[in-house]
Amino acid sequence: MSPVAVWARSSSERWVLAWVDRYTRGVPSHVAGDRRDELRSDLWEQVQADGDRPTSELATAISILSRTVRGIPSDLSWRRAQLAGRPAQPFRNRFVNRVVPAGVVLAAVVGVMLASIGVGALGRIGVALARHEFPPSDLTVTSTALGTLGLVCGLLLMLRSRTRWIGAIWLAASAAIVLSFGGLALVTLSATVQWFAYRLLPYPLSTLGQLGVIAAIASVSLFYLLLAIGWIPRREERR
Amino acid sequence: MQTSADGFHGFLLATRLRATDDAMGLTAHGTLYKALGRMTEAGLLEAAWEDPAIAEAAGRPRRKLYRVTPDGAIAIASSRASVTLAPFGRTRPAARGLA
Repeated sequence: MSPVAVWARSSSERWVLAWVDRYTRGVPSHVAGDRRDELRSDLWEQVQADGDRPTSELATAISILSRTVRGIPSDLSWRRAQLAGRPAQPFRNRFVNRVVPAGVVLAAVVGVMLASIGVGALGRIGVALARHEFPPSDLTVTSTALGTLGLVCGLLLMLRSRTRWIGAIWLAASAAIVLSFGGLALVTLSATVQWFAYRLLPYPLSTLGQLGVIAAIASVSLFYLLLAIGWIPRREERR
Repeated sequence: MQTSADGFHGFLLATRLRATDDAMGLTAHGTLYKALGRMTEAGLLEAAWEDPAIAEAAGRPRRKLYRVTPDGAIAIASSRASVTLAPFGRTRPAARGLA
């Protein structure tokens, strides 16, 4: 019995249960629990039954995965039926089901753009330090580096639905830091960014211009904070 | 299938279906448990989780056991009759192997 085959078989069981968790999400907890327990029992029975026959662990793994993949249309149809049988969704559920997917994509795109600004600022700061020209303050360098790191952490936390809201909070804080310090460093150090900034903002140095920049930074952070509030999992989803 | 008072569980049904239908593989999870759920809702089967103590003593997850109800038995008999009467044997029994 090869270790690879044993790994394949145990992995296939984990994948099946992960799939069950996926398609029972949002289904009443007792129904979802029943389905999961029934599948767990089925997997155990199959592994035992195949163990009594001259069947390899790899064949068992393939059979388990095949049964799961072939059953996906029925699983999805079962899920639709379960969800259709529920009372009308409250506003929060509508938000979770409809706005969340679009919000995740938008948050990720904006997050990647902000991280690019942070990386760009750090690169430009590195060039400036190497050339000993207009060296930025330690606070700017440290804040930009930490902000960029925070953005990356936030994006990684957003990958999992359970930690998505924490990721959004990280992104809200890190976005403000990167835009404030990294943005300022870029405007100061990069002639190209300077040119764009003065083109886009008619009065960048005026009070109105500064208020506009602050409002833009606050809007980005507010965007992430609102998403974080919407993504906080309910008690039954945290189990 | 239902040879004992305890009834049958999903995987046992899948193995019997494989044997009786000469199928290559076991019935898919989704297909099997969706069908069992619908038959239970329709009153053709009754389902109950076995005593956890039994499962614990056997060292395995507890089974969900199904039993054919009187209505289910009538449906099976009716299905068999329709198979017998159907020309060219095109109709397949829905609940074959349950009783």
